[in-house]
Amino acid sequence: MLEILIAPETFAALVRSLVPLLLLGLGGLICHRVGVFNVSLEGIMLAGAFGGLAGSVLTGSAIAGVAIAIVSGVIVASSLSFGGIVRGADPIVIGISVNLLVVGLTSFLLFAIFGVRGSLQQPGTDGLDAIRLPGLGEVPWLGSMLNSLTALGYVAILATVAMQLYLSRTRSGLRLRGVGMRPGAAATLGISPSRYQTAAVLVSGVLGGLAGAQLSLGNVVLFTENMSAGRGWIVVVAVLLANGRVLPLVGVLALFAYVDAVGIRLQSFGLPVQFADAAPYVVTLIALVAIAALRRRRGGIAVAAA
Amino acid sequence: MTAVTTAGRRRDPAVLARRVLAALTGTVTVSILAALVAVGVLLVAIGQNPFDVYGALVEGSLTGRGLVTTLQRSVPLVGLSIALIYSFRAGVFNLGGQGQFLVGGLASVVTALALPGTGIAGIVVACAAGVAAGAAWGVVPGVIQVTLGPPVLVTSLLLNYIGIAGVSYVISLLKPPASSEQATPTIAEDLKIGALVPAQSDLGAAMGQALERNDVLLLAARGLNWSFVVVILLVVATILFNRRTATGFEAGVTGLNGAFARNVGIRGSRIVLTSLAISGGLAGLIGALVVLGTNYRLLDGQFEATGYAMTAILVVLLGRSSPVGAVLAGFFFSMLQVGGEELNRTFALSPAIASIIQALVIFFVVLRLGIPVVTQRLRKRAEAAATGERVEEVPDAVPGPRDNSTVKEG
Amino acid sequence: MRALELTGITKRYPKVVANDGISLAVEQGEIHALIGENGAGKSTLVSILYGFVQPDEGTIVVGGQRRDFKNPTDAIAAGLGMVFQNFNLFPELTVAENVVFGAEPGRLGIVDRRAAAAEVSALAERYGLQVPVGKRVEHLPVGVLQRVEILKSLYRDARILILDEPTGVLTPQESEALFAVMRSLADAGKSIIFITHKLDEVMAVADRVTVLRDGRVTASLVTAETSPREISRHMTGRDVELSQRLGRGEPGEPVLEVEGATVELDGRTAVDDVTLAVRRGEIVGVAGVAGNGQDALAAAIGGHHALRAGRIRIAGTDVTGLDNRRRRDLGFTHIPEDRHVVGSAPLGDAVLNLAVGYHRSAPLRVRGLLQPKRMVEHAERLIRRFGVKIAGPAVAVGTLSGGNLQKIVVARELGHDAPLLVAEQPTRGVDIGAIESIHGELDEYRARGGAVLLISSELSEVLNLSDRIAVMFEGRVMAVIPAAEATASLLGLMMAGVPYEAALAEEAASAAEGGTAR
Repeated sequence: MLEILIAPETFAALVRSLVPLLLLGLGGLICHRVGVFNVSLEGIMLAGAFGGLAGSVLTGSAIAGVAIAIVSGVIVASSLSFGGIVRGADPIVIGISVNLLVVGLTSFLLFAIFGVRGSLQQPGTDGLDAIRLPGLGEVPWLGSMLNSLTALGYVAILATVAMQLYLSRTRSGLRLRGVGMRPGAAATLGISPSRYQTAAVLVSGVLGGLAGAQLSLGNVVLFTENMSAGRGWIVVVAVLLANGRVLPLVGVLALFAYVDAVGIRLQSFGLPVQFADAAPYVVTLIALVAIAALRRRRGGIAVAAA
Repeated sequence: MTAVTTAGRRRDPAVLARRVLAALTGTVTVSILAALVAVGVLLVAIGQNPFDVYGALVEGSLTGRGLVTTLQRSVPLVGLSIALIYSFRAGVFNLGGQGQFLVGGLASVVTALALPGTGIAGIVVACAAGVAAGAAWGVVPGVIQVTLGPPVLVTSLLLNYIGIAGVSYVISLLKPPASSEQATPTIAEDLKIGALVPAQSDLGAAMGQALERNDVLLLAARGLNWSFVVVILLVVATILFNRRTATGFEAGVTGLNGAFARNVGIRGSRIVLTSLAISGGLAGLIGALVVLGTNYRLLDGQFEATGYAMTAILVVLLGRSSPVGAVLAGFFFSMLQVGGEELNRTFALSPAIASIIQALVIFFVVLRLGIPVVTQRLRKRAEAAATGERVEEVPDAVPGPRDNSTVKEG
Repeated sequence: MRALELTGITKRYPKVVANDGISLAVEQGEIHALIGENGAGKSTLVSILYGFVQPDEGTIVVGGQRRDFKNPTDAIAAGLGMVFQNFNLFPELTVAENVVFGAEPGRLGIVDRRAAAAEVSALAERYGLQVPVGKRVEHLPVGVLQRVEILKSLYRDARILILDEPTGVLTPQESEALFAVMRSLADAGKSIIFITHKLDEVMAVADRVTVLRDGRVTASLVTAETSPREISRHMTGRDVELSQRLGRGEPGEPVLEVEGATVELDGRTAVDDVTLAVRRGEIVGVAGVAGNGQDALAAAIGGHHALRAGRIRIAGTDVTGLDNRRRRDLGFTHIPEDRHVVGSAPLGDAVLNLAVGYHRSAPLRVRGLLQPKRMVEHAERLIRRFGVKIAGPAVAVGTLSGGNLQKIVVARELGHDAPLLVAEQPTRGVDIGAIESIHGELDEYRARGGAVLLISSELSEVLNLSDRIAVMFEGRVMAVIPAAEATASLLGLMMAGVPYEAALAEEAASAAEGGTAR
């Protein structure tokens, strides 16, 4: 049974889990760097998942589905930016209500458009297929990992690289980071914080929409109500743990994807399904607590009685 | 701006009248209307007449049997909202109500199954178990935040998912082998929370004779159980707690400005832990009341399906963390829920329409606010979207971020 | 051609006319001071000049051209550069990145880091402003940060520099260095407007001075032809006198004893082996440039930071391990530096803000229950006694002016009449009437036997009120001297790190040369 931990299939499953997490995570990361606490990641991804599947079912094309997924994500994100940035409302409250709104709307539309409750799955719907690579695809481990990447998987890889370069080397990236550090200071130099923040939130809408599309169109072509199932929150935690840096974020998300993958595979060995369900959250919680404890230890300051 | 008052000004009728008027024309009313209009547009888009739909919604939820159903649903919703108020009012973003509610329900059913034949005493003990379990589940994020730093917002939410999975697993262990449904065994007859006026009792029989079969009062007397009374008592107790106890006062101050509270000797960690323990405990109590009073067993996924926990968060936000607000908002939201189900029957619309209206109302309410509502600063990074400029005010210094000094303060 | 000319600038706000028909002219190469008390309208005028705010009436003419600034970018484009009071720098970026931010050299959207560093170095060289170009800004000393701010403006070809209270965070010696930079910039043809409320600075460096009071220009003078007394009369409308101190007796036994206290924050030693005591009936002032450990010391006394070493006693009891609540129970009260963020709950009303701290015992709490009616009476009583201008106790305190909100904070803390008060910057950003009122309260409190630890970066405040004065530098107490022996220049030397004996020696030397008096 232990061979599951290192089996190539496990790593392939890891990659499948990781792609949506990574896309969503990059969206969360850019918001974090610009100073916006984006709590609506969950809702953005769910909207993208619904939009993607609905789009594909209605138009017969996965690509159209992905496009609709992007639009859905951006719509959700723009309500966050309008409420939080333009009107200055509390981002956490706005974020939570947006999430709940998306849950309700997707369920409603699921019933209104397709007449079903719970989940939608129509055989023959055009989905995103994994792309088999001819040469590299034969390499052990790496090959099976690469072979489980869909087109969006490659997009995720490119996006990761692009994000890192953007933040560290470009003019716009420098300004965005400045806005995140001291929005007022940026304003005095003629850089509009609200413009950068709005743009970042919209980018997270695009990336989150893609994440949702991967969720519903990749692997199994299916939409379930409340499909995002808390992944948005895992990503929120991951961004905080990684402190908004790209490489640590990939590491943290990979860990969760790994636990997820192992959990799923262990089920065929009799692991109760609830354990597999809970495993990523348990690991997240433990990671959060452990890292906080380590930071305290390193700080070495006795906490004054509060 | 409207101040948070501690002194009761309600003695003066003129002031009262002005406040009622302000409420009627205020943010909440406008937001409700706006939400109804927005959903009305959605209805038109899918080919329905909004007026018919809304009419059916009101009829289905506020008349006859529908009203009683609304009241029944209000009980756990308001109860759960009251529970969460203890956290939110103190600035603690406790999103773990779902888990606390569920764990409390499980604890109560397990206890009840172990105590058949004990009657009222058994009910009380089972409820106490629910309180204890909920409090324990709620306090854990608090302990983590106070000792290590990770915010309650995140950890309470993670514990929700862990709690749901854990309870589901325990149910699978407790499930009677013969049964086809994923649920615990049913509790003994004498441990079920009874109706306010059961049909078999003397008063119940008398009422049955005197009133029409579909009379609202009769239906209510038979349809509502003692949880109704418990929740009313909780509302009163919470009002007293907020206004008349030192801890309640301190929680309110902490919720308004945590840094201020810390500076004047209010022990922040004590407030966090106490609020979470009370919230969790009361959420657990409501869970126990639901289990012992409605299905008499715990079904896997039952609580998630009702959506009480998440709706309760909306109710708290809409009611501005006030108990009276929670009652009004809770009733309103239940009305939408019940009405939504009616719509499902008559118009074949997804009952999710109710939750859309609910979320939209909140959304619009929050948009009108220019000032951030009670916020708990995250210990790790407070992400603020401020542009740092409020043009209405005479600047007492040239605009710039408040704590912008890059000098490391000694 | 004049560098800058303002005519008839007027700005009205709902409750007050902040600027009323202000006219002012600055020549090329001139150093022009803008002086006025807090609330005189200086900040509003500068906000208008920099494009943050639009005037209701009036014209701005820069270099002969009429201008309308809709935002800071317009002002920058017109050749204005602003050096802010609170530095607008990005802590995690380097000096070069901070200077070029928003106008970065490079092609195709990529930042050319090397060019940035080279350009900034060259600029610094040209104007004699030494800065470590490649270092991150976050740990640099204040004097350097200010130079970075100036470089930001110079990088954008500013011809008119506006400095807003530039010496607030500098020692007297660092201020001298700044004045030298200002003179060399003026010699190079730049015009400088600098805003201050300090007379001696105006006399030291400005060519001309415009005096503001209540939103209007009360005088426009050539500094060489006027005197501090005349300027101050235009500022306040009356001759300013040192506040009279009430007679008091000998100080009593110590109420606050800090012994060898050391506090570490983020790996740095913020408070370094500090020993001082405050006795009944005395005010001990703590002078020092902001950021030299005063905040950490106050926080440690309040129980918010643990001590790495040493102990603290309040009223004879060792409180080193006790939290803020217990210290308050023992008689500690505190006026914090920031009345909005830490000193009050702005959304709460006066009743709430004044009840905090009294709510655990009688008469506000009886048999475990709070008494709302008594809370209102309590608030009304404090409002009356401390002269807070507020419509009623149920008004949200966030709507009050700076001075009135500060009075609420003072009322709440002094209302306890507790043995010990730690007051941090008690009159910062407060109008002159409230300043006098608060100083009076502190004075009376001392006369009643109270003990005050007064932390302030306003040297005049420290000198006026204290019986003894401690100077902090880099977390250490340089010396504690009787007020009678303290002069601004002596304190200034110690604030800059010169040890006590050396400072005394230097004082004596410059006095021999006929140097600065108080």
